[in-house]
Amino acid sequence: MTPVLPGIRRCLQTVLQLSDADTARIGPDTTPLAIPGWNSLAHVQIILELERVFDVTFDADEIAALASVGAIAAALEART
Amino acid sequence: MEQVTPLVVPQVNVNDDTVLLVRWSVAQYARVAAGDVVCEVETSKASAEVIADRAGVLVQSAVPPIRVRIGEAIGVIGPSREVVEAHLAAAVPAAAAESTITATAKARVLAARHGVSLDDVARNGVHGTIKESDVRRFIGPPGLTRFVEQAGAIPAFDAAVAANLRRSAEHLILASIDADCRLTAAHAVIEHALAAGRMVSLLHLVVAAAGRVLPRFPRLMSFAYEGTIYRYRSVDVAFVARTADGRLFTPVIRSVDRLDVERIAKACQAQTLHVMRGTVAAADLDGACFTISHVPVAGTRRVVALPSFGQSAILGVSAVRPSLDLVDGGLVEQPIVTMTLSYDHALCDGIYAATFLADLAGELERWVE
Repeated sequence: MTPVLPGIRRCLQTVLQLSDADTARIGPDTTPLAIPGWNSLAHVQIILELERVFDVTFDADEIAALASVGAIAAALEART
Repeated sequence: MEQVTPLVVPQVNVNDDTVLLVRWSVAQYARVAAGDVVCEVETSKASAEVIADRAGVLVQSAVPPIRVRIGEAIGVIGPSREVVEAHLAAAVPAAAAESTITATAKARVLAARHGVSLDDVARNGVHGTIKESDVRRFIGPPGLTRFVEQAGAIPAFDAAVAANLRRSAEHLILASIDADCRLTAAHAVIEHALAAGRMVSLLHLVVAAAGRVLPRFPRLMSFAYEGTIYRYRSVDVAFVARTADGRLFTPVIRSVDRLDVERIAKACQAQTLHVMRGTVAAADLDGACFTISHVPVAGTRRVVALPSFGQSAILGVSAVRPSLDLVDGGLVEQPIVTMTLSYDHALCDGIYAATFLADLAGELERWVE
């Protein structure tokens, strides 16, 4: 498991108000298609929450390509 | 000074201490003759007309419907508007002269007409010279002050947005027209992108579809101003983005007719992030020929939006909802949205607007990359 996955799960749970059971099912292959409510507006809110929790800043032009947990994890790990 | 006399409420019925001022029969600042009917009042038993007892210009100081006391002044008659207003300004209590408060002439006239102390207006939180708008705010909405209380000032940002829309409304003859759009094809595109880890939403597809269709509808890329039509040179489309605290911004995606949906999605996401961070550049908010407002709040069936100043049309997109449609003899559930085009009827008519919507819906219903 990627070391940033628990933090990503917490961010998704916070923004999308997921149950603990749904949150536990989130893995690197999870995409917005698998999680109700992960739409384009929520995506920006998720990015802002990730920036706050991990103390990083994403480039505005890259966030559309971060629409999977694996892509988010890779981007975070590249910054830490 | 030439003679200025108050117009007072006469005793109509011996049993009444007050009457209801129903309406003025003449306009503000109208020149009246002695014996002219100037307003209507109602007592507990009947209605009556109030007549001017002398000729001159009538300056009204009461806004109907309002209950007024018998003998109370509801206006002033003088030889001219200027003389009456000078009289009213001079009639401001002597306290005004002793006070350090400064006020514009219009503010003094308005305060005098309503019997309002400028000291009280100043104590209401006005700093510097008291203006007519300060007095108006202190007096409150005509006829409604008995029912309401102040709930704070309009935030500066919201006031600026409202000023833009008010300025736009002055130049528009606004009409609107709706069309439903089936989203089966669009949802397939979105799901394909999401499954591949690329964020694409309905808004991004609508922006892309508008980029394909708008060039065929140049009047929707134009606006009328002072009798002249101005047409935008490129298909720059704005979308409405809302911050967490409710402020609305309209960042612009340039030349959407030359971008594929993924580049539009990328640009929209980047601009939305800038809006939410508070880092959107002023240059990215200017120059759109057209705006799209998607309100995805469940249950919203129709979004009638107002075009910004310098645009003649805006597209409102409702929330997605299921629809049962007859397909090949059987009922099929499909996701649909209602798209509402608000447009300037001075530039295009209903057929033009409806044709645009039909073409736009057609693009989305038969989406081809």
